[in-house]
Amino acid sequence: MNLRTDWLDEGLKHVLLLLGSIVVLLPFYLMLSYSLKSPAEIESNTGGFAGSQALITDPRCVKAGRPAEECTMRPVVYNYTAAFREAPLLRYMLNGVLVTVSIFLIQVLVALPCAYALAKLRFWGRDVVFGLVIFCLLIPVHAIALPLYIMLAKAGLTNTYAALVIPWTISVFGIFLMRQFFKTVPDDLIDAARMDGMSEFAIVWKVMLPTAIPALLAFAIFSVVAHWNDYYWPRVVITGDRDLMTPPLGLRMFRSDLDGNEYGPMMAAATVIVTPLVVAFLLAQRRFIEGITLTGMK
Amino acid sequence: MASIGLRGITKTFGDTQVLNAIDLHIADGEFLTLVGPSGCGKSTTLRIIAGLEAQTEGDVEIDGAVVNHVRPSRRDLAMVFQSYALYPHLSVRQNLATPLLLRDLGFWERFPLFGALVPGRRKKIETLGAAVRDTAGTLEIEHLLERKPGQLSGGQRQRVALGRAMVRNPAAFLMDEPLSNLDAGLRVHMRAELSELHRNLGTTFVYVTHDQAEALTMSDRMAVMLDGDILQLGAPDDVYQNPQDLRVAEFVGSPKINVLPGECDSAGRLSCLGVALERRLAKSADGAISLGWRPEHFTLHPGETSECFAGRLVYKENLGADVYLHAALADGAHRLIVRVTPARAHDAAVGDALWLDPDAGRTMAFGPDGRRLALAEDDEAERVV
Repeated sequence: MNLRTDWLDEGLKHVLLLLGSIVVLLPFYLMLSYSLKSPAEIESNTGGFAGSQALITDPRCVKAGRPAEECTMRPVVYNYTAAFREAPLLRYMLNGVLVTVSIFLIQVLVALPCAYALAKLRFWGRDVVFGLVIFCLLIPVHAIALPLYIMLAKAGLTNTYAALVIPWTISVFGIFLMRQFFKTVPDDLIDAARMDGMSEFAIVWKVMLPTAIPALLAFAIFSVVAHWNDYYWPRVVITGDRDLMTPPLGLRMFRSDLDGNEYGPMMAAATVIVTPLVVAFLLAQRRFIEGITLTGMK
Repeated sequence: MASIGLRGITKTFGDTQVLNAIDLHIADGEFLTLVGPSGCGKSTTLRIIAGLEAQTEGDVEIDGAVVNHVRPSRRDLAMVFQSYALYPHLSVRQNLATPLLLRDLGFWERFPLFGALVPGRRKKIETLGAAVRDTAGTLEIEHLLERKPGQLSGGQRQRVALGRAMVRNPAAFLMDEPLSNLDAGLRVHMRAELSELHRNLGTTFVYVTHDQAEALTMSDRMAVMLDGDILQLGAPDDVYQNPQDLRVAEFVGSPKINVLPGECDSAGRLSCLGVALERRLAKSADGAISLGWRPEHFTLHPGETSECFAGRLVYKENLGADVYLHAALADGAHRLIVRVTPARAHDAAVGDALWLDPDAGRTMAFGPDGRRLALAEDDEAERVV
């Protein structure tokens, strides 16, 4: 009896979870599938997941006067070579790495001492400052985009890496997250470090940082995902220089440059762009979930 | 090695005053315990000595020099915390080495990568490695050196925390309830070990605890604190036998001292619940007085007399070597706890009538303000009777 109701219960839960995962995974499935198929198969919606992989001929290649053998290939090869040929994908990804890594490092450099001060030091006006941090969490980026842009433009920084990085270096979310985590670190540990002769800065980097690794990893994922995928801000400050474009901006290149039916190469490019994030997430998955649940600890 | 002096130390947090002008002198090499219930200000006192907390008023002196504005690390004191406060990401060896690295190596020598290039660094690292091994040897934790604190038991962590304090040969040790996270058996064992360590090192120990048993067993002198005051400072024996304040008498000793309301006539003769005590106060007192006897200051009387408290046995607490009899007195409002030998307790059953004879000479009388009242000398007392 009991066993059967358990079965039903578990079954229902799994059906719900399956439905949820389908909703989440379907776009990725389509992206991957399109990046493998030929244009004709995409248009007629045939060929299952991977398509028939029958040889196709690139009409533009033929038009360019190249021999037919050179222009005939498998759809998957065509899509991915086109992705890398039509746009400097590697360059975009390098930009993405440069920008996200520098944003994250500077964010940590700023957020950790701030969070430490807010969590563990007693000073006049601390609660007000923390209130301001919370308040800043509520401000949408888009609301301050224009003044930010004007400031950067006046400083002559548009179309530079600096324009991509500087506005994000102070992460109130990071300060908030780390402050919440630091609250759970026992005061005794900090006092012990003081007795041992550490300065307050040394405490931040040598005691708080190592104990906060899980929280920091969670923050890293939030930060890196947000800025790797950010389309809005690069679109605002990178106006001319294609060499500074980040991956999402690069994707846009396909939409405007290629003919309407070139979904294959576009999806191939999208696949290439999301892969590093997915791989990084899978590697850090356990620590990431630990980090998210951390704030609920204690 | 150092003496520590506190002069007029006051501490307020917001509107609440937690320390009221504490004066205390701790001699070089002394084991002094600050004992009191939680919230009495004992930990705050310790943290002020350490420099982790700034006093509102008053001076802290170490070896006669005022150190009010000296950073904690420059006071040359070591502290052991209740939670041990080991660096969780460092191995035991690194935990022990950290205070030495910070004290002995200069800024550039501690700099990552670059530090290795500074001449003379290797020599220093070797000497401090030897110091770490010595300390680990003394505490018998050599086999744990490569482990992380998370892999250690409570007792082992306790030792490592002690080691981290010992390794730099501080002028004095400050201990903030270091044993209260251990289980009962280990706590008793560590008491003996700490006392021995103190004897061997000969360094000043300032020890904070809420456990009066720790204070009684380990200290040279103990200071009983309550509500931000030191009520009594003295040798454990003296504090136990001769409490100068009712609150001290009630705090020190387990089971608690028995306190009954007493009366005294104009000549100072004492009586309690109708029992005359053949003792009188040196000076007659007005108002409600309290009389106290320790559980061991009673004897069981075989039959009813007017010099005894009559009661009924409600609970028999057998500790093996001793038996504590809990008696409800005939007036229905008071209870007494009496220590007897197992042989004496053997026949007593719950519900039996008991006659409890107080040792009149051990009577402690306390005035309405809780202060101890002196009894007249014996011969005088006899004259009165």
